[in-house]
Amino acid sequence: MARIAGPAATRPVVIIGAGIQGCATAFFLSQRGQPVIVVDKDHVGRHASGVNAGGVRRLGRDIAEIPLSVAAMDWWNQIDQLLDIDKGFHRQFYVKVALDNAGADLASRRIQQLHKAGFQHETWVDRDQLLGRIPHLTKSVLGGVLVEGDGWALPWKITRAFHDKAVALGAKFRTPVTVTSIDKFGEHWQVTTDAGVIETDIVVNCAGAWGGRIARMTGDVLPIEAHAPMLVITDRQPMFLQSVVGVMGGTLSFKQLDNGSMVIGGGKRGVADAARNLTQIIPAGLSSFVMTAGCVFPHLRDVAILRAWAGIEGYTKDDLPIIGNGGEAGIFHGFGFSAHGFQLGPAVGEVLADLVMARQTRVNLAPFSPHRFAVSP
Amino acid sequence: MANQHFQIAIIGAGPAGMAAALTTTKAGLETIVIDDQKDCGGQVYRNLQANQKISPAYLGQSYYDGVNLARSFAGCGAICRPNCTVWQITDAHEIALVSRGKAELITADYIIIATGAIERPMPVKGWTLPGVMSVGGAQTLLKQAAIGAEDAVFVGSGPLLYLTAWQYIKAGLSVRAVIDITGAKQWRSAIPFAPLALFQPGMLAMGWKWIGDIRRNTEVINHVSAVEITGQSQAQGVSCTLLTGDKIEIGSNHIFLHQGVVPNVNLTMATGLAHQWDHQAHCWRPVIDVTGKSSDEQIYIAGDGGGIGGAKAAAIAGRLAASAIVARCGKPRFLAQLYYKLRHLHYLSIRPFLDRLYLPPAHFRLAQADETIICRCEAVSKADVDAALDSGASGPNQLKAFCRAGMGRCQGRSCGLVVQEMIASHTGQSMTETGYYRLRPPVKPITLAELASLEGPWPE
Repeated sequence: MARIAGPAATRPVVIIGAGIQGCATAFFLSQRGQPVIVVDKDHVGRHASGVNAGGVRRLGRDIAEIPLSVAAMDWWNQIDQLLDIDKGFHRQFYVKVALDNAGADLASRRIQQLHKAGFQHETWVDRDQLLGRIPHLTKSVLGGVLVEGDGWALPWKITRAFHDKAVALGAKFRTPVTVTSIDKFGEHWQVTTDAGVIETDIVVNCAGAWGGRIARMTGDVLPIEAHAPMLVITDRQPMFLQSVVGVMGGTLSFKQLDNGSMVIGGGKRGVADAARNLTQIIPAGLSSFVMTAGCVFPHLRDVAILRAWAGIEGYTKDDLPIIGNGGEAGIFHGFGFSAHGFQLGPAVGEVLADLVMARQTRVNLAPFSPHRFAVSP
Repeated sequence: MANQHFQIAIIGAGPAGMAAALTTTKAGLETIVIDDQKDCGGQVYRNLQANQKISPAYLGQSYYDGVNLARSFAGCGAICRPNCTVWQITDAHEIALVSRGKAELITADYIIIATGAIERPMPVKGWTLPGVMSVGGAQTLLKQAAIGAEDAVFVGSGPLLYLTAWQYIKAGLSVRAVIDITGAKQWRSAIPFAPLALFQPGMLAMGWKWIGDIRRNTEVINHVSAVEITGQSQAQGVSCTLLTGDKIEIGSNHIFLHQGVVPNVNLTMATGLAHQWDHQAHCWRPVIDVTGKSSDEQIYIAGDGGGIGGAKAAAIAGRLAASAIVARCGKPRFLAQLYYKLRHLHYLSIRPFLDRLYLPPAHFRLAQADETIICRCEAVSKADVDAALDSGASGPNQLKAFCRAGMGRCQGRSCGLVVQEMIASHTGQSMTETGYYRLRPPVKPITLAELASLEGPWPE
């Protein structure tokens, strides 16, 4: 087989998966002068990273994930300079509205819980304040939990920008290239692909929904399930929303893009066929979250839906990502973001680069340890 | 609530759908026919019931050929659902539709998709100016509302263009000119198939008559190498370059463009059925067997949606698919199937000739000027697409992300073939390798309230 990477002395790190995590990792490593090769079975941002709802939020995160999310926000606030782009991050506010008493109860419990854990970023806003800031909101809203400075970004644009910048810094991307096996070969690893063998000391697995399969090639059993959360985009409307809106106790995410179109996501899943790269839309699921959107913004009754789609994403058992070193030296994992990894991307890239270069990470990664899924003998 | 279930669901009440329903209902199968227009007939027999009462002669005999079929269909006992839009078919053969503001899911043992043809895009400079429309659109206005424009210019090629120009002339409208882009190369590649086309002498004679009448009544311009529509905020005319290099300017505020029709694959592709690139007709078509069965055992495709053949071939294709289904339901129809297959082949005998003669030259399929709009919904120009290709977009779906072509209201229904061919000619890959947009439901736009109605009434 042909060799597609250089001699042992300058062996680049091999990153598998050109989604946001893989591209961000490639960027941070390249920035630090570390040669990398990114391989992907499809192309940059083909799946969840290119087609997710684009929410950039700290709001509503699992407490274990907040420090990583806060670290990521540092990067988001300077994303234009970091990646040489324009309007990369729409810094607004993100609010989960309470539509009924159950929602309001959830909200107050959530805020208490965060305060106890030492976090102050989520705050309660009452009905009048909220209607003042989002006049089109349903008049029956009771209030909401809000984070200032959260917002949204165009997923494909950001993933692509990390790719472009990494390439400018020397990273090599090889797509479409499918990894077929990863084998220990003396002191190093041999990554066999359908386009030849790559020898490396370090493999970073950012393969998303396919991360479990890649992990298994390195000897790690990391359970991951592929699902396909559905989204819809609407026709253009006059601008009425400068924030991202969700609901307490629900999974709605609702935003208006610069061109006036609205992206509505709802956590409802279509059918994912990861083996064949296919997804299917389930009409009843779409209907359910569009109805939720209607409860929040009743004025949108006659707005046309242009397209519904679903992206294939990897979910872990506890809905927390897998970030850390594998069972064998030289293997690192960063996947299984369970549909909330887009905002984390820049911080994940940074910490994976730290792990690869054996540096101290600025965030405690213990909650994300791959070993938490270790099967006891 | 359980979904309503039918033995046969037919989508599209044009000639193929109507004829299919005659066969399935005669065999006693419970049949529903869904169509997004208010009357049956499809595009070719559009508004037939109303026109029949006054029978304007200018619509021509080929239009009134549909009368008997529509009459039989009206009495066949199929459940008709007009004004009803199908927006998705799931793997479980649920048909998602919207009717009078409400969404429903119905299921069927067998589905016949008979959604016909759409016009091939013609991206000449200025095609998005007010005053420019497709010939199909102009013909629809004539059939539906008896509306026509004086002093129009017809540009392009293909039977529908000649028929519509002929109908215009017969309706007493003055046609300023017909600019025919059919070239000598097309004639050379089509002539060897002329003998085969002689199996359809009636069709040849009809086309000959249309063209003859057009030539007698208006100026026909041939040997054209390029066409541009002039005007700033409204079409002012056509500027046409001849093979000799001479330029002709024709003033008109109504320009009708057409360069053939292609199967409407929007629903069949979004349903995930297998498709193949048709090299002869230069378009996508679903993969179907001799009876019209698609890559999904339960779904058949009949009529122009499975490959262009015209109205008469479509009706026979509907009969053929329906007989195959009836046979699978335990009522063998071997002789009927053989008969319909032979008649279908007979109607198709003219296609190798027509497909080659009216395949628009590459420079008319691809935009020439940088500022020519490719994707109208998102205002993406040829220069924008070229820039995206230069920066590494390698396929139609990536191109969407790079420059938004195909992302707007029509979801690529009008720019798909142009974009695909631009990519293929940039990368040197074949049309098959290049592939097409991944089409997503809803196949036609539906409103938020319509979609939510599966769940309940829209909140006030």
